[in-house]
Amino acid sequence: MSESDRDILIEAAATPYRERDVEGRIVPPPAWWDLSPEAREELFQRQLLSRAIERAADLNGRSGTVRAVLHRIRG
Amino acid sequence: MQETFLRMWLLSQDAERELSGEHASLRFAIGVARNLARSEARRSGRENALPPEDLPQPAVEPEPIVDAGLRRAIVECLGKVAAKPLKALRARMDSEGMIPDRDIATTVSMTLNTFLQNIVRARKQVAACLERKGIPLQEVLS
Repeated sequence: MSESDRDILIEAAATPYRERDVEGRIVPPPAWWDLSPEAREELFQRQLLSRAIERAADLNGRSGTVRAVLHRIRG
Repeated sequence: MQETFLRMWLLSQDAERELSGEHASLRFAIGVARNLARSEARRSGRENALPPEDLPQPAVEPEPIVDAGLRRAIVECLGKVAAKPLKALRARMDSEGMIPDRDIATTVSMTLNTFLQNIVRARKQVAACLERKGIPLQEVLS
């Protein structure tokens, strides 16, 4: 796998969007299953940076994760 | 993470439940997260039992308040990101974690692959900009 393909795969897993299974359980992004243990470590770092950028860009300082949870709470 | 936050919210609605002690809610949240992770690992047949001495003890530290200077630096760096990568990144942020990337890509007239490539570029440009400002990534991630 090229570095570019690996970057894209990690990015696909870094989204704050979470699908749910038929029982309503949150499931990891499909790309997550294709990542090596080392790539998952990198994903974690990339998620931290993503959430930091989201918090900085949001007027209320909320990350994509927080906004997604608020949507679920408010239905 | 999201499921943990949701369960913490449900807990806060339970008038009979009370958490006490230092960082009580944070400690409880870590416990919830650990149980969820264990349950998922068991469900997918990926649970590996570790000797008790090998079990990691996560540090219980409150989330640091985002430094105003750091926030300003990130916003300034976002303003310097090239147009298409910025368009992709903004579209994902505006989706508030509620829309899959494939659908966001369509709204900005990009294929999924191009959309993800643009987000990778945007993030690298922000990281490089912060480094130029003398803000090491480790500071952003801490």
